[in-house]
Amino acid sequence: MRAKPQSLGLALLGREHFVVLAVMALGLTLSLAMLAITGADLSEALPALFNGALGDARAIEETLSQSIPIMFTGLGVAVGLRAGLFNIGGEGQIYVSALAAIVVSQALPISNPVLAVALVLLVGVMAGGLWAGVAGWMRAYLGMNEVITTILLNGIGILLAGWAVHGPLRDRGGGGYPWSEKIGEPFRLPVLDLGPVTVPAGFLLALGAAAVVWILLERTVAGVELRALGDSPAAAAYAGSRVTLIVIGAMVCAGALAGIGGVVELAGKQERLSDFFSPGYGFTAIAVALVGNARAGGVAFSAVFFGALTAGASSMERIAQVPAATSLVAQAIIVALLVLARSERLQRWVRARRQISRMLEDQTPGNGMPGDLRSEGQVV
Amino acid sequence: MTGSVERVGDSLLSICDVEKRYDATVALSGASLSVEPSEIHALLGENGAGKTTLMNVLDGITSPDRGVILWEGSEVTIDSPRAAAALGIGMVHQHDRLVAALTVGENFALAGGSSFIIPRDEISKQLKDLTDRYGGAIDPDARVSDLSVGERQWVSLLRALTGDVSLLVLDEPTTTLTPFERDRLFDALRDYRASGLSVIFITHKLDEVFSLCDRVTVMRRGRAVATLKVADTTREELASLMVGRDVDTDFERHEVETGGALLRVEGLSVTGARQRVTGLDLEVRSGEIVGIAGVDGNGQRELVEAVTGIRPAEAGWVRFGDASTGWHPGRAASVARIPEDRHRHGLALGRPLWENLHMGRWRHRRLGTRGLLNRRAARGRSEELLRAYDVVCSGPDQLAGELSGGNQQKAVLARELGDAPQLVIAMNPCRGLDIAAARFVLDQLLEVRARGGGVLFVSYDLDEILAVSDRVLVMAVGEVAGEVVPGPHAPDEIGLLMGGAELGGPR
Repeated sequence: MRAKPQSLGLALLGREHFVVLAVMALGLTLSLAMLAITGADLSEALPALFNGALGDARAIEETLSQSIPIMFTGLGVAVGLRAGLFNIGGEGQIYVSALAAIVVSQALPISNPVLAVALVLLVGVMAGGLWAGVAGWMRAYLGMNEVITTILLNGIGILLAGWAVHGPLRDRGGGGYPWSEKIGEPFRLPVLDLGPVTVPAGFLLALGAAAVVWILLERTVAGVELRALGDSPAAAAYAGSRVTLIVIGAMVCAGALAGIGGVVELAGKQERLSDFFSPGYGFTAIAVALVGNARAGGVAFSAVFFGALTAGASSMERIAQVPAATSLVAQAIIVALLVLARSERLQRWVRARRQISRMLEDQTPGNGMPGDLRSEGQVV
Repeated sequence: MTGSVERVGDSLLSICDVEKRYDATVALSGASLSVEPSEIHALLGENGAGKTTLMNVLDGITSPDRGVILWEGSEVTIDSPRAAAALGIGMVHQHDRLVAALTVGENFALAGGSSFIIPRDEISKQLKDLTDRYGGAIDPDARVSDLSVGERQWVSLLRALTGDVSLLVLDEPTTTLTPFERDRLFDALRDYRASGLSVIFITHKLDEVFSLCDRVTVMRRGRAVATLKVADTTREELASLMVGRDVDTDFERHEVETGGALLRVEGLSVTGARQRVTGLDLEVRSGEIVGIAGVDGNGQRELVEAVTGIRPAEAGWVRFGDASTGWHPGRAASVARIPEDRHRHGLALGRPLWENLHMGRWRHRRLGTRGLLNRRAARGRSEELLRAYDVVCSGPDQLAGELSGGNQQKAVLARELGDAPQLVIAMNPCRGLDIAAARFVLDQLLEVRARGGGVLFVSYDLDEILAVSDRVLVMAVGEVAGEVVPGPHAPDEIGLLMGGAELGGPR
């Protein structure tokens, strides 16, 4: 159903986008109201929030940097959602791919930075893809629910990385922290100076990944088959779609995206693998994908939004002594409001309102005799 | 109020001038209907005429934009199925609303719904009373998903009859019933009328109007065009009111040379939820339509699922043309498969038509170059298909779920038959379609035959099978009970073969 634009503003935004923006604004307002009730000084906190997210080049770089891992994993969740699969395994996929990248970088000390970065990215794709592919395979051939298997694989992946940094990979001269040595210099991703702003190279990779996901979903044969499968698995199977291939393929893609996310986080930011490597990126990804409506562009946008929220909240904590967990509260409120906004019941109610207002419009002279409605082609 | 409702005062139910619009389409425009006490009132019309929408209005599922509903002379608002039930309206929908994962008894408990603990004994007794009265033993502990379509419909009917019902509404109830089950249903309805209750009987079959109903309201394109006494009208009059033009019922069958085998099934054994098919052999040659007749639930579905590769077989072979294709033969692009259930297996209802029309055929139709989608070609081709198969829709971007049943089935046909397939496997392709749409479907099957293709045509409707088949195989208890060639004695012979099956048949 394509709505006729009522005004230029709505025409540019489209209804779904408008709902998401409204929900974001409302969610932010509500969480700030909560802050005010708990006694925080908004006149201090609000500017800190804004400046920490967008105030200057440093703040913008921090926002973009925060958005990278959740954009990659969010895209992974979105690909799964469009195929009707719920990939909860982003967290495990991040740890496993970062672990694989550290191991490979130590085993193959390449000095050419281009080759080195390409190598670890490839390793991330393969490790994440393989890890999620296991869940895809179990879904396609054994009928095991991917929600359960990806959650269980999270446990295995996170603990595997934890064992590695406590044991064989532990940096002996690292001040006693359970973390690995820093990844070799050539493997690291640079921060690019683009005139007024500095942008982490990983952010451009994430935007590139969003573009690839868009092409994959909207412009390829596999993408249409994937969407049909997500809408109606029985019909897709009956019509002869390659169901097992698409289920496994979607999970492999999802894992590969989260995998690059893990490697970019490692090579572009933290440089060491630790057992506190990811503060739940794989789970934030689900919120990112939901807010982005499982569309590539939407996910990119919502990842930057959540990145800004995180960056702003930590500056708010530093300057105004407001807990940074406020950003998690805002995130939760936004997701809850969005689920509400997309509920069948509410949408039915909105449709009914819209119909009434259209009927009222039809009552205007020259536009509304019931007989006009009976044109042949329009009847169901 | 422009409605032509007579004697509003005495009527049990009067629907006056109801209108309902969806975004781009008008489902009902000025539909009126009145039902007297103790009458069986037929609601006759083609698919998409608005019959089902009108009934959804009556059941509180759809809220009308305009119009009034009078119940026993006073205006009522029906905003939920529960409200409809409270008035005394019992509904049997065309696609049943039973919860497949629950047992029959549990489904009854859902409908009753006042006590916290399921009153199992009470429900069993209630069900037994109903089946004693109307026949058709049903095990209250049987899981609904294990029942056949026909049995599910019977359960829905029995469920609608529980409680204090004074108007029973049946939406095309006979589509999936055997002749025997249909007669049993008709007897039950006459019994009902005798005890002072009313029935709205939605159908597109003229025979049923004449054999069962007292009055008939004909709907066309969202409007009630006429209400007539059945005794005062003729088949021809009703048929032309219904379609707005004269229809002929003879099929044009060209003489076609039968050629080599396109489908060979040898020693096929497969076990489904309800029936085990054992050691089945059959052959479909080029230029012939092979009908599979039989009572619902005698292994037809299992046969089709095995042949189309949905259900793995335990023994035997399915061969297409000359080559053996193993157990996933359905992937072969020259084989068309028209599923029994267009909502579940035919279409992805939430996706636009242009995606549905190429589902499973993207590569075969070369709509992608190196995996990238050729959207212009895909949309162009789907516009051609929509035109060629006369699908009424707003364009290739409309969601499949927004079309009426007949148009959805046409869209399935367009996809499956669009590449001029060699072999067509069709299961109940005319289920729930009106005369014109069913005729269109059967004509398409004959068209396949005329150009030298083969058709395996499974249907529960004997008339349909006899109208187009070259040979009819009758299935009973998972085996082919016999082969019959259409002719004057064919119905009796098939009846005997089917009947034998029913005596020793499942359940």
